Order: sequence, then structure tokens, then C-alpha cells
Amino acid sequence: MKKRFFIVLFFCLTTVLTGSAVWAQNVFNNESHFRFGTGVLSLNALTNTTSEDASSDFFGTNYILPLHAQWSTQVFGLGIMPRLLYTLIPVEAADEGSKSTVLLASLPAVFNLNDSLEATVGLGYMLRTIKGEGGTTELGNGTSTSTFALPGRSETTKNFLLEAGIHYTTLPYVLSFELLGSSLLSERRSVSFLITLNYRI
Amino acid sequence: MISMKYFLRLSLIVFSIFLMSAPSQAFTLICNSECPNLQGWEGEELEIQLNSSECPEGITQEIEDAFEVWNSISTAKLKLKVGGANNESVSTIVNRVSGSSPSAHPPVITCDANFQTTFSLSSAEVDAILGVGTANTVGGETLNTGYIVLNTQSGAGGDISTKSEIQRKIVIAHELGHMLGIGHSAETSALMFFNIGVKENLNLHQDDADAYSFLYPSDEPGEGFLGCGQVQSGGGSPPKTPLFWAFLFLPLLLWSQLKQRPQVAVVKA
Repeated sequence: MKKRFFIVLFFCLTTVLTGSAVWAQNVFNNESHFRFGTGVLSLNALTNTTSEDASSDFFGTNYILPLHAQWSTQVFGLGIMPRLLYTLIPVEAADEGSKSTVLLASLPAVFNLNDSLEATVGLGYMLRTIKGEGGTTELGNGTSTSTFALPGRSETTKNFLLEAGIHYTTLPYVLSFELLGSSLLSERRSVSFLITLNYRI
Repeated sequence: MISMKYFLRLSLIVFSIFLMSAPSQAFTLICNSECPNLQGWEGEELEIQLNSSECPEGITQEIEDAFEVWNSISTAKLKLKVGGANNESVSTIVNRVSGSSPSAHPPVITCDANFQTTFSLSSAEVDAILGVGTANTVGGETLNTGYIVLNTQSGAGGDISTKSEIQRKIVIAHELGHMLGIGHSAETSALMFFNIGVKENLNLHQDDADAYSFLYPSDEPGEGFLGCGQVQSGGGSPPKTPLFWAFLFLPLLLWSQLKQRPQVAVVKA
């Protein structure tokens, strides 16, 4: 419970600090451009475990090298940066029983903090597909082994996200760090983070 | 100003750290043969009955804590709740699920002081097995009957009354996984790995979350927005700090602020 509270606090603090900086600067970018790149998407940071004693881990499930495309433009005086992200390389099960991919679409508002720093805050939607080819496997059951079925179909989870990010530009590259929060209004709330290195056109 | 060389070097270091932490996954389903169409329990809320007559004191709270760990998965939709009391004998509960003619019934958690006899176990087995959880499908491919029986056989090595509170919670959460349709995992860090004796904390591996999400995938906005209307375990709302509300309304505040002030366009030569 305490851990989840700190996740939300961490997320809110980052967002509020970003927002405050935007408020103070009030500098607005109207320069339209396209950027694309790749990076790391780490789901469920701070909550899941990767150790045998089940202690919680900073790193969640990592999707390495997702394809990331973002367009920065202006609508009705507000800077927006619609983007798409797709994991070209799915996370594969150790036993090859299943693969999972992520498709993320979002529409954040963008604000310039100075010539090289931007902040974004907005809403996104994430589809996460878990797919298995079926079959069975033998696994330990405590005293001997048992047969278990491997997942044999595709299922997709659908979640809205609230996201906040900081983007550092050194032309023509942009390094972005973003926090993605899902189910923030329930006890299911979780935070993921996305780090991308983009090429700006 | 950060030089390009330093910038790229820093990026490579960051990416390398993440590459080293790449996970593995290996969840399975509870069936003992192929079951590509197996569906989890129906609905978005599952009430689990409890017969605590042979259970150690405080078991209800431990069960609720075990529910919470499964209820915390943001990519799943199912809420687990403690349902009504159940007064059936262990043999009735077990036969209804695993007997020759199973029948549909809400899931039940119970404890058994004759664990060895009920499951026809050897002495070594009753010392090693702390609980049994399973589920079955009756008249279809959707789970609709299941149980968890916890070992409370006096003198047995597997008697959960002799284990610590955290160990009991881990056992209950693991057996809950089975009752929800999840099989064992080859991932040693997963809650659903067969040997949970080395675990000291009740946390899920992404493999556990994937298994649960596979059987009970979230479906927003069909079931709410940003988790609204989802799990509120323990009868209370999650804490909502002023920062929480500030976060939710920040985009709106920023919008209004920017609309009010003259905007300065950054023009680069």
C-alpha cells in the first residue's frame, strides 16, 4: 500500500514540477517537426519483482528498441505532440510459450522550457498483446512434475494512460524521459517509464 | 552545454543498463492438456467463499492481503472479493471440483486438518505441500468451480499454522493463482514458480501479471476510465492527495494559463 502511494506521489511530483516550470516560463514553441527513434519501455516499474525472494524491483518488464514516431505541431494555439510507439521486438517467454507486444498512442500537450528542454503532459492509450502458440510443458509441482498447458491464443489488454515527460534536444537528436501512469483512479495504479532517443527532421 | 559525444555516450550507458535487465516469462494455464480456449471466471468481480473453521486465526485478513496482490494488476479486469461463509466439508468441496461429476459453484477457500487423507498423500508429501488450489470447467470452457485447501494438519511439516504470516500470504496468493486458472511457471522469480519456499515478500513477477492479464484482460473504456470503477479493495478508496488531484487537472490549468497570456513564439534563424 505504502509502495503504491509513493509511486503516485513520485508521478504527481514529476508532473507538478514539470507543470510549474511550464507555468513560470510560459514560452511556447510553434515550430512543427517530425521525430522518430527508439529506446526502452519499462512496464510496472517499482512494483514487480525479478528476484527469487520476490523483493520489489525498480525495473519492470522491458521492451527494448520499440519504434517511436512523434509529430510536434500546434492546434488552436496549443502545442501538441501526437505519437505512436510499437514494440518491433516482442518480449519472448523463456520457454517460448508466449510473446507480448505493446502499441501505444498518445496525444500530449508540449511546452518549451528553454531552447533545449521541452515538457509534455497528456493522455494516451496502450494496447498490450500477449500471444501464445499453445502446446503443453512439464513443470515441477513440489513433489514430482505435472503437465501444464501453454497459452494458445492472443489476448489484448486495453488501458488509458496519463503521461508526463521531459525532452532534451541537441539538434538533430532528442532524448526523452517519460512516465506513463495507468489505472490511476484505482488500486490497480501503476507507473511505467519510457526512455527514447529520437532523430528530429 | 552538453557535447554530442557525451550525450551519445550517456545514452548508450542508459540503454546498456536496460538491456542487462531484460526479463524472461513462462506462464502456463491450469489444464493438463492443450486448452487454447480456456476462459477465466466469468464477470468482472469474483466472490470467493470462506470456510475458516479449521483455519488459523487471522486467516481472513491474510486472504484479503493475498487478493490485493492479484487485484493490483493494471492490465487485468477481475476483482477478487471475500464472499459469504461456506459450511461444507472439505470432501464435498474437493469432489465437486475434482470428482467424477464436477458441478458449477462459486470458489471456496478452506483449511483441512486431515490434509493427508483428503488428498491421499505420503508422509513426505504432507510435509512438503502447504496447500492445494485448482479450478475446473463444467459444461464449457469457462472456469466455474474451484477451491483452495490449506494444510492445517497438526504435526505435518506443511501445516500453515506453523508458518509465518508472510509465508501464509504467499501460499494463499500462489494457490489463488491456480484457482484463477494459472498453472506453474518456469520463471524462478514468479509467484507461480512451484517452489515458493525461498520467497520472503509477496510481489508478482511480470510473468504472473501476464498470466492474469491473459485470462482477465482489461478493457478500457468498456469497464471505466483510468481505473475508475475498478478495484477498491478493503472497502475504502485509494488515498487521493492534493498532488493527485493537481496531476489530474494540470493539463486543464496549463491550457487556461496559456490561453490567458500572450504567447511567445520561439523562432530559430
